Amino acid sequence: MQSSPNAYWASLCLAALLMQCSNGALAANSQSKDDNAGIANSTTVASPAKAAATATTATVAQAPIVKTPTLTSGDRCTGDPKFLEKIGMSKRALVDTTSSHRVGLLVTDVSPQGQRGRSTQHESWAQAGYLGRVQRDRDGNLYTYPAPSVTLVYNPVERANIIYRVDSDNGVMAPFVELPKEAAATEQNPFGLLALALDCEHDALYAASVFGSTASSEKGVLARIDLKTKGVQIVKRGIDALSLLVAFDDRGKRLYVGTARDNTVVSFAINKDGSLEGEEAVEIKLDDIPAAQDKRARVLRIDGRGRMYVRAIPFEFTLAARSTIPTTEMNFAYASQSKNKFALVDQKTSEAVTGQFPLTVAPPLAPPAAASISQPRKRDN
Amino acid sequence: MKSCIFRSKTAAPRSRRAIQPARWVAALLGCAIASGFVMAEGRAGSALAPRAATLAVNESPALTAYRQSITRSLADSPSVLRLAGNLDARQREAQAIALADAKFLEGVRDKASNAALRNEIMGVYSMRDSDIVTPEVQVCQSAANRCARVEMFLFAANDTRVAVIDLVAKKVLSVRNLLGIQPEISPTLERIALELAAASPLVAAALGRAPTLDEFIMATSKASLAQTRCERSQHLCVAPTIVEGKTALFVVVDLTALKVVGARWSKLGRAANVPSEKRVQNETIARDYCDRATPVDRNDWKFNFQITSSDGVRVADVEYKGVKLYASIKTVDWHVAYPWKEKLGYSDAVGCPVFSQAAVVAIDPPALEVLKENGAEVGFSLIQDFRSEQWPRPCNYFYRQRFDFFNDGRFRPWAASYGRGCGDGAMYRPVTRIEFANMTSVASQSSGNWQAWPTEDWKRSRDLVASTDGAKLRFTNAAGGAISVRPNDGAPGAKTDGRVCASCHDKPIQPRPDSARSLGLPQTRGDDAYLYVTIHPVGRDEGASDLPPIGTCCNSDHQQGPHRFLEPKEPISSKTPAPLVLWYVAQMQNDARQGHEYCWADFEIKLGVPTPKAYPCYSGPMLTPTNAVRTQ
Repeated sequence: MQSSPNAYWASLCLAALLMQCSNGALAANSQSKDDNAGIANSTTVASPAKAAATATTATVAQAPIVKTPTLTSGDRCTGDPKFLEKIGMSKRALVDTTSSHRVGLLVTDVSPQGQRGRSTQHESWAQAGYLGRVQRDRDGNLYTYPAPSVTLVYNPVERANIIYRVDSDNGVMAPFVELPKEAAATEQNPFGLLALALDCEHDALYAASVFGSTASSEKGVLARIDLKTKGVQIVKRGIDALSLLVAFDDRGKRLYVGTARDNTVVSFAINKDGSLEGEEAVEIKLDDIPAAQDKRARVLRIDGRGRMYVRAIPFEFTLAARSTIPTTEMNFAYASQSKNKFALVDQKTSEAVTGQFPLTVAPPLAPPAAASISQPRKRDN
Repeated sequence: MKSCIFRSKTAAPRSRRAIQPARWVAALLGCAIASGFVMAEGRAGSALAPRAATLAVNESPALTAYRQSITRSLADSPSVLRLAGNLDARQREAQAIALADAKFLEGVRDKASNAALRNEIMGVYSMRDSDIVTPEVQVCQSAANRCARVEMFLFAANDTRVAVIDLVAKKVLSVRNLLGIQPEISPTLERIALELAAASPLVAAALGRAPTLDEFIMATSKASLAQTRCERSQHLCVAPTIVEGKTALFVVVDLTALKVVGARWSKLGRAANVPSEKRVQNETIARDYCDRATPVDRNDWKFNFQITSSDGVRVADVEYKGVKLYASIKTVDWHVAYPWKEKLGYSDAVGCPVFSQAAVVAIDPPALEVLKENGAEVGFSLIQDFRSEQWPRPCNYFYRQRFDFFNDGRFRPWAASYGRGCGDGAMYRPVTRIEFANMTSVASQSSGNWQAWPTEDWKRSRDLVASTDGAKLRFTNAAGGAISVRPNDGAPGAKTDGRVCASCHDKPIQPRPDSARSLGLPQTRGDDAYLYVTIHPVGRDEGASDLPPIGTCCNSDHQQGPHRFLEPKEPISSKTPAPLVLWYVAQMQNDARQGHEYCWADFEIKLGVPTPKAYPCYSGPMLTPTNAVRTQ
């Protein structure tokens, strides 16, 4: 059963108010670091409360400005890790898991002018090898998962279903929960957990894992973890997902899922108990956007204008190393009355886009350089 | 299929529809049907064009003329191929104004070498209302047809540049760069694309007949600026299409390389179905070489091969003249260590392009080639490449597995690096596993005799003494058969070029009958290999199945991964014989010095486009069975 309409609109208003207040001031900005993850030499994506990255300019067909009810993200309660102050870091500090050279999690301070300062790594932060994206909860605890980079040397597949938690108070990282494995590990698939999303309303975490999936068998699951009880509930089986987002729209509370196989973004209705209701609704088909063809939605976010921001990258269930990661960034406006609820829009003007633009794509490859150490392998975790 | 392609002679099945099918078309049709590319119950699937032009395709006059025009444009100033055809006066003037503008011409020559790059005016168009969006072009609204839009494609950068020309003021109003975007192609290129597609044996095989030009529609010909279909190669690609019933055959044509990349049947209806280069490549390789083993029966050799998840190509069940010699051979890892920082490097697995643990994946299909030694045909080679999409840019890699099957029973598994890596002085260590079918003892030379090893062990090649025929290890079985192993040590006594390097071992080679050079391969500087021999009793894996990276990147001693299987060193017993496994870890240090390049790659400008130029390094032992084994 979905949230009551009154509660929904109340939360919508509150969320809008909070967005204004928190604009540009997200503490311990792990999201902004994740935004930069894997996008070598590309334009920087701003924090979710700000407009998305600079678009490539191009001709677009004239179209009416799309005015729609906005989407609201379900993770707008996140707090700052308390250990930052204890280790002398500011609230601007970046929580980073994208380094190719340092295994694990790093925290890097950022000056008021936006310059990066010192980095630090707690002794417990490298225990799980390379790590994936970081999700905070309302108390500033950090949640992440093992994410192999190029090699499995630091990331044995058997441990790929463990969610790790970095305690907000003392900064110690430890295993939090392990998702059940639907199938045995296989050499065809080096991955397990691939995405986390916070549900502030119920202090729960949604997780996506593709553990055990093969080319011929989709064994991925979506799970819900109660952050207070650590209870794990499998809410969906047989779906390989690369990104998750809890969001509210005029249909209620939904779990948006970037699929790992089908180049789509789908959504499920979320019941009051956190389970998923009904069949998936296909919201966005990336294959219909040539600039995003052959790519998968890696990041789903609600931007400052209530639009769905999608960052798409190639993903073939391999550890293929890249010195630059081809990326396509898109914004979609939500149109509740329309059959196709999501319309690709111009990042700046919100005009509907009928051509390929404006989309941000990774800039061209750097010219061939002389023999030098450059462009280490990029990670988009 | 695959046996159909890899036999030296193929029966030619009848074509159902062709009037007078060429024999090769019919042969390919048979192969295509067997491969699943053309399925009985419907048309679906992808196929890739052969790695090289193994079948001669007569080049059309238009294509020849176009190549000549490219060459002329490279000698021109500016080096831009003008738009041909019936241009009106406005179009000609707009083109001329654009080609006199410095900003429009930025990047038409290579910055480093000033070599002319390939650029082409794709179109000169009237302005659309939707083009008039910025202040500097607002004047275009003052009169109809006052302005024109000139689009140029820069092939080297894979970018489109658009200039807005004020034909009244006779000046350029704005220049925009559209990075990674391809324009609507010129009528000349459209014709070229159609001719390439129509002449492609792949397309003929898919259709069961040779198509005519007018059957094709250009799916993207009227599209607005679009992302390239060839994102992997960063080339200009289009997809001419033939519709048959409810399905369509999309042909991916690379107009930078002027070749057909591949083709794909798909249902009509969605833009998504127009395939990309990557999709065609991945689908074909996964279906044909990852999901199944391919049998080969040629020149007295029988074996099968498959691209694995993380161990490259695995050649298995190798028989020579009916005698099984090898259970399997594969390259498990590539360790790459950089000298400027301790433990800096990578431990790369190579394998399938989808659903694998590979860091460097197969993009091209495998190939069988005739093997020649000193100009004479002596056997055949199986070749498979694995490469990073952006090779040879820095920190991108290209590895090759090559298996040489000699008509006289010799066998050599090569592991080659074509660079580039992250810098100079890197050490490449491919880890190759050779599992013998029934060799149960091993010996090395001592005082002129073969001395059996009592236990599993490892040796560095330089510490082993060679026999009179150059062999350093000799594997034998209970029946008296033997296979000798000669590591690739380079030429004895070759001089170095005086380079001071703690662990480098560059030795310019004088050609030897069995050296890489005589096989037509680039020179090798020797492997300085570590050799490990382990027993492989029934029921034990130890690398038989796909291995995750074995060992870390950057040890400089014998601890390269296989050493783990020697802990403890088990006895090699004649009482309880078990087949033996040889692990071969070569060591090749790259060299980026001009004139001395080795395990290296760079770009050179060819026909105006940066083209990879590789300086590969090859490693691998020669395995020679004795007469007893050959005639068993």
